[in-house]
Amino acid sequence: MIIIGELINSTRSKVKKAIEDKNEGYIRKLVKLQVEAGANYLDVNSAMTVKKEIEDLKWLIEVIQDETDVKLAIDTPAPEAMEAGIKLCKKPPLMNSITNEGKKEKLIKIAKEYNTELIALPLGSKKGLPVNLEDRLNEAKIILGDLEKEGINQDKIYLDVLILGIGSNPSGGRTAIQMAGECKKEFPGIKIIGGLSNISFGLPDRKLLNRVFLAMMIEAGLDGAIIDPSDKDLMETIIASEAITGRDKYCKSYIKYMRGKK
Amino acid sequence: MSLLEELKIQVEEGMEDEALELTKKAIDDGINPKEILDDALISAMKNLGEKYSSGEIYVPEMLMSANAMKLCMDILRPKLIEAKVKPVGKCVIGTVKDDLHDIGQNLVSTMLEGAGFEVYNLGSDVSTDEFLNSIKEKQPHILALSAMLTTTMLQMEVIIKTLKEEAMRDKVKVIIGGAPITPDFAREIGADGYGKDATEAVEMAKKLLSNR
Repeated sequence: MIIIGELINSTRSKVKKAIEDKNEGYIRKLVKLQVEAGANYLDVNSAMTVKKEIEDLKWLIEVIQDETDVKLAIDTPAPEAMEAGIKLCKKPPLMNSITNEGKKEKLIKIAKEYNTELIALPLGSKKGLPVNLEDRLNEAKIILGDLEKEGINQDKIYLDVLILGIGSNPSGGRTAIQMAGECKKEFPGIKIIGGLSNISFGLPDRKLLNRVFLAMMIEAGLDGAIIDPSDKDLMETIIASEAITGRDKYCKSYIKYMRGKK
Repeated sequence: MSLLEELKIQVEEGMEDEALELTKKAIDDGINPKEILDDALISAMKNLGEKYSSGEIYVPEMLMSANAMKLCMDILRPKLIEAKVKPVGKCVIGTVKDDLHDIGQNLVSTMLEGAGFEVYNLGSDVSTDEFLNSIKEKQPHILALSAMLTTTMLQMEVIIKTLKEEAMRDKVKVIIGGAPITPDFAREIGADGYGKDATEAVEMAKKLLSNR
């Protein structure tokens, strides 16, 4: 499972404050916490500081790269911020994200120029969020078609299935699970991911819902998730789910993990 | 228990069918539509808002009640018009351009209606021009803007600037809300008010009306 650590995000108030105060120590702590917990990528988002997004993004990237070699996921829909961020990355990062909205062409151009990986989000060709499976698959086809036309290699593409909260949309969980399964079949070379914690918005005991949902998504074919890797229960759910669904041969990783725990 | 008390409880519990039946009954019994609105619906939404703000109830419960109230409003609205009950104010509401999120915005819209406003809900991904045209046509007291993304929230500033350019800024009070919005941001872009949730948004709208 590919883990994209979600903690360095300016929509979290502590991170926003750390960015404003240029508090390197706090950012470094979040880097260490996520890397030690097994993150394969670290998401970097400075969008909440609005007019200073690019400046703050650069600062974050420099602090993070001073602390770790783990790849970054640059989290912004703004092409200017994306390019400024990518330029600073020592390793080609993961672009988070490209949708079917107007900025698509610019972002694809950047992905090609800097040879980055990218997250494609299936929305934006029509008004409104694609709530049902059919609309969502259609959005995925459009964006994957464009990426193919532009010669972007499949192994560089992560498709986000789009996860909407069950609190406001009772079919949000089921649609995401079905979407993961359908995409696995329809687009076999593409990695399927999702921003997991959306599922539980506005509900009590969110962590329980996140864990159970993640287990179901893994069975449906999820390849990666944008999560908090320092949530030990959640990480254990991944290890157990991979063993159960036959992704962990001889249950090797599961056994190794449990032995290490003692 | 009086009919209106019962109706209030059913709305609070989110019981759509029961609430609708009781509203019909209240109308048939000749209860003043204004009383049905004030004593049952508005009062129910007020309680719910407080419970939601304090964390006692959750998003789905809030939506369930909002839907029940919407159904009741649909049959009550013509009666209110017949009885010449004036709305407390007019409001145009929508999610800004390039932003597809409408759940929060719809909730605020229903709550405003429940609070006695005449609401024009423009939906999501609404352009500045669409907002401006709607303001010209409906002449609302309040313009309520929603954004769920840090990128689209900047559209709110564009809308306020355009209102100034078009010499329309003093015609309408602007309130804003949505996940990334902060009171600081509202101040910075020159909005008149901010609501951290649907209840606060309604309170703010009412406050701005009374300051007129």
